[in-house]
Amino acid sequence: MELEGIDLSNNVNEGVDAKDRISELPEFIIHHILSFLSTKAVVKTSLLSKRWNGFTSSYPVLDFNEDYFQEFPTHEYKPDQKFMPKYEEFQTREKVMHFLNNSLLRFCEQKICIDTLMLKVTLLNKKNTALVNKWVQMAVENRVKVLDVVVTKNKKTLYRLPEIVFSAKRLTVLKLVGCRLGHSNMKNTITLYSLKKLSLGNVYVEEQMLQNLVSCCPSIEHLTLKYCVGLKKFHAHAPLKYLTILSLPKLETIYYIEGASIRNLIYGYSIGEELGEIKVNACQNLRVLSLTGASITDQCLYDLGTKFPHLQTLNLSHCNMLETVHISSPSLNMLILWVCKKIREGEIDTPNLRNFKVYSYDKFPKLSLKSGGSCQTSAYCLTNSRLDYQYHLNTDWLLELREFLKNAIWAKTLSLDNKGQVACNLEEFPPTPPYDLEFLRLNLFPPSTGYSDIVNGLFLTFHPKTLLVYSTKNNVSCKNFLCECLMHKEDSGCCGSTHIKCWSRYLKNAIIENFGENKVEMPLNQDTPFDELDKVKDVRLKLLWQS
Amino acid sequence: MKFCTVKQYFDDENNNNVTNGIATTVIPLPNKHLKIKANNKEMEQYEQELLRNVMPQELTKLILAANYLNFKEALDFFCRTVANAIQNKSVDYVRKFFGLESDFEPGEEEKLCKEFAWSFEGVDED
Repeated sequence: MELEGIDLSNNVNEGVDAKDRISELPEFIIHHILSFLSTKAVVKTSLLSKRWNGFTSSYPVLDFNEDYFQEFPTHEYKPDQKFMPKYEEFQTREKVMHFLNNSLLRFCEQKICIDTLMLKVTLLNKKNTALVNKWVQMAVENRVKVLDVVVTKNKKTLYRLPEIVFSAKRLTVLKLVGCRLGHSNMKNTITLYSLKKLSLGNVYVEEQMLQNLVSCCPSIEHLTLKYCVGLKKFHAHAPLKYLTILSLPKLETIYYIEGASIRNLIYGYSIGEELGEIKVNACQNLRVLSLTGASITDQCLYDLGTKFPHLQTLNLSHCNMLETVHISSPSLNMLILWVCKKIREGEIDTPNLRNFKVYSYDKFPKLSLKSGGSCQTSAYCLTNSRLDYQYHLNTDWLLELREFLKNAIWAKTLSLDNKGQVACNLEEFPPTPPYDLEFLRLNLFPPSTGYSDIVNGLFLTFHPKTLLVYSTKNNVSCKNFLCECLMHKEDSGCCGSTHIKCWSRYLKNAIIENFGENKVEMPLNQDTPFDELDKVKDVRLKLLWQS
Repeated sequence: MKFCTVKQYFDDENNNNVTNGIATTVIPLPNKHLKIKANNKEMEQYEQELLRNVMPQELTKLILAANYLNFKEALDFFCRTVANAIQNKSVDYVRKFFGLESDFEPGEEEKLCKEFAWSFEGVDED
């Protein structure tokens, strides 16, 4: 234990001085190394040696999370405030709080500044609340830079954040969840000179207080408001640059965003029948705009091109007032249309677009795209994803999809996720030439009628150059079925139906791109070791079709 | 602007902080860094390579060199490499890796183990 000198058994390479060099690094570098480790890994290093114990004790990032001491039965278990102990030493929440308290006291004794304090606790009694108040106060007194407080309380009340936080001059990041911000009518009590990022989630704050708060922070750039209660409206302006706002119908808040300083705006409203209202005005430097569930109209969308001359990324999700989209923007690089289910048609004139994605449940709109040559475009079809079980894949749907791709000759990638039922009648297929697709991605759950319908329908409609089949534990059969179908057969004795051309006649070859551990290419034919194929999770196939 | 200290180093012959070997490793880094910055996978491979070829002790010298040269990206990279090497490993493994001995009293260590038992989750096998 007390061995001084060289222990050669520790040496991996020969002739090297085994003396511990790393521990001789200056403390700030050790702390820099610790900053890349998880909290648990950091704590473990305190057991390495006395010197490392010292390093850990003076490490100014404190992560007090009661979840580290608990055991939840499943991953999705929602703790109902009861403490679920995991370790012998920490059988109750009181013990955990006591331990954390001692840790903080020990740290503060060293009179070092706290860099970061993160708290995640459940407060069910006054004693623990008082303890957390004390911790917050100590952090502020020790010039904390990053304060992250997540509190769960009884359903009716929220944790009232101590007012001392508003005079934390060194604070650069403040993140709060489950708190209540009290009144501070006097503007000169707020001295958050260094605050750059403010994030409030499930927080109760009144309009006047929040406006005061933001206007008293001269350095503030990032503002995140997630489901904040107590606001009838909020006006966001300079010096704010990056805004993220999430809201719900019952909150009834109207947001006004204004000013040349605004760079990014992300607005999300819960997806449902109602649409959220947000007013954006004179934000000529806007670069990124993302709207979910917003009540944006066709006209508004058209005006975006002129209102935001520097817009680079536009993401519209569930904006169900849009019917005919007309987007004209020379600056746009990335455009995402996610399930705006009323869009029927549109014209997109974006010469510098590099990435275009369209997500739809069943009906794809008729879109014409004018973009530069190097635009990567993908169409994603998500039927029956999540809880939407109204859609069924059938012949009509496939025919509409073909219609969509015929018009949208820009769509190079098609991605299909289906969990529902399939009912394709191949007799109904008109003999039109199939569409050459660059990339087809499939994630199909087993329909009750089997895969042949959907697979036949798909390959009569598209000839993809690359096929990627996802397999999860629920749909391994899809991968197997497809491989059977695509297998190069020596004897081309195919289906007897003469009404439609059998698609497998056009398939010249199929090669698996990621076969085996080394991910090599392997042609798909009778000689392919099928049991090896089972081990490949997501099969990627190169398909060669007759033109 | 990253290399104002490099010029200084070359001017100052009697510099003890950075040996020649280290300089040849650290200085080509920015080019490599810029080239593979976009590709995360290559960075991972480079990291693995680094760990295999470069002893923990050598890595220490690299860290000090990067710090002396005020080269933030290299410093971050090396520190992260050390961190990744010990992230999910047991205390014994890390001791061997760093080449250090425990200097705790027997009772002391046990006490610490108990107190910090909650940090021993998810540890890889040695």
